Amino acid sequence: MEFCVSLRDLSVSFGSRQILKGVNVDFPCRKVTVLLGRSGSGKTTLLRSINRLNESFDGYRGYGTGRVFLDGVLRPISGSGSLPLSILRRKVGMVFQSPNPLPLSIGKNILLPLALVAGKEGEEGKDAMKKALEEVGLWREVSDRLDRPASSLSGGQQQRLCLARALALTPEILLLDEPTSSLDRAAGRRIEELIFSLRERYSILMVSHSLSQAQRLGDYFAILTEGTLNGLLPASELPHGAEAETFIANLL
Amino acid sequence: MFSSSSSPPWLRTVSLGVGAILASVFAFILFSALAALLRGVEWEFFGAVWSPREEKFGLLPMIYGSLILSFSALALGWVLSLGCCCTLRGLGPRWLAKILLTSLRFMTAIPTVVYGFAAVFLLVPVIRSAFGGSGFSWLAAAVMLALQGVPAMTLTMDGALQSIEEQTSLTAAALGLTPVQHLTWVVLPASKKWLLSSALLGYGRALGDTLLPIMLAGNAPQFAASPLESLRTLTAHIGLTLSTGAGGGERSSLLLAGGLLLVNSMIVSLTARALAGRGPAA
Ligand SMILES: Nc1ncnc2c1ncn2[C@@H]1O[C@H](COP(=O)(O)OP(=O)(O)OP(=O)(O)O)[C@@H](O)[C@H]1O
Ligand SMILES: [Mg+2]
Repeated sequence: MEFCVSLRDLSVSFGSRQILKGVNVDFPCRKVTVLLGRSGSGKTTLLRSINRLNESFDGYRGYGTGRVFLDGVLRPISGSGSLPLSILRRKVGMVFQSPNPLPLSIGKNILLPLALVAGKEGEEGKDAMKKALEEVGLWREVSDRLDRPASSLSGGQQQRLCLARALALTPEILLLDEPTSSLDRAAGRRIEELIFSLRERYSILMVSHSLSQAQRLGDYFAILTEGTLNGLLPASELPHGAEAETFIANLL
Repeated sequence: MFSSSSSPPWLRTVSLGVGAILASVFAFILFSALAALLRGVEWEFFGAVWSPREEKFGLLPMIYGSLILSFSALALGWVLSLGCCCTLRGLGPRWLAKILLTSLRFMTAIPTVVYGFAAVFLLVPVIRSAFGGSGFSWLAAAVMLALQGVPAMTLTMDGALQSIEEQTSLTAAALGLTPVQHLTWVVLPASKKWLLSSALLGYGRALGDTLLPIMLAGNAPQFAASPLESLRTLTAHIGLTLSTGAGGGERSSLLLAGGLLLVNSMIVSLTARALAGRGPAA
């Protein structure tokens, strides 16, 4: 099985607290892998160690090795032979737990990273923006108000904007940290459908709190228990219906 | 209802009292300015010549002096403050930011007269030897007013910048933006309103300052055309004329000058508030 991210003995601590305790896992390419775990078990921290976002925090220390498969080459996430930080983060897009548009206009939210990180400016940038907004089904809703503040959008629209912003940078891996948790049911469904439509083109690692959502979307499951994770569970091995719930609850 | 019942009666009385006193002071200044304006038509308060001996009390040179001095001091001070802010927010090395922050905090505690004093002995001689003249000039006053305004302006700007930076730094990092790109393309544009309102406040302060113009600007009631010439501001004018004992037209012109300053600072602070009120919550 081809994999997009491979972690070996990955440990992360902040200050004196160890959050991840020797994670070993290979995430498959072009599949949806759903990360499950209790609140505080380190799911967000695990995602952030793939795009090196943990390094933005005080007291961070990381051990072990992580490798990513990007542009057809397997490289270490950090250290010698790794990609420059901004390229890694361009190739590994992230959507946060709650929508986080920049305090700029709707258009600028996508055009700015496109220009600064991907070097796409002018018409090229606008085309890429349009394509990304169409991909998340937002183009028709916002095409006539691209210069309005992004904060004027609804929560669901904002989250789709954030997804479009990540997609515009042509990533290969998407880290989705509970992308529907701050949305209502309908908006959440919309994002789910989107993720479903993206699953064949991107390698998706997604955190979810909802078991039913995980079952709808996941090809594989990874269960994080107090900072440890060992291996993946294919969707086929998961019992159906109510049984799945007790099955997962036992694992957590 | 809840908030009014939670403040004790004495507090409400005091704040009402203070409000009433302030309002009556404002009303007094505005009314006497208006009265002076109406009564003193023959004194030509908006004329270009100030010459009490000839019974000419034109305030125009002072209005001009106040405006160009405060605008030039603001322009200089605002750019310096923005530079300081960017240094504090990570454009410069950390040690420099630390030194800068400490010295800015220290500078806010220095009395204005010390700035004036230092300038008389340090800046004015430099201007004199470099460009000739007495050195007491628009330039000297503008530089010191700008410096004096930098700490307060920098610290207010920095407050806004810092809060926006904290809200957006993780997002920007996740998109692959470097900290410098984040600051220049996200934080600064998003804090436009605060940068502008801090400029307004800086302008208001520069316009209202009396001591530095009196000590450094030379105080000639004329239209300074070059930064090396002397000028007199409205505030300096009030201070100087009042201290030499004034009556009749002089006194009325002072009331008008006070009224003009008050109206100006009212406009400034109302605009600043309107601007800050419209921005996203910090
Ligand atoms: N920057 C940080 N500094 C210190 N502690 C942190 C930091 N980030 C996370 N932690 C701690 O690490 C633990 C795991 O956090 P993390 O956000 O990864 O959990 P999570 O599984 O995503 O939880 P949730 O489901 O609530 O989002 C928490 O106890 C949290 O307090
Ligand atoms: Mg989390």
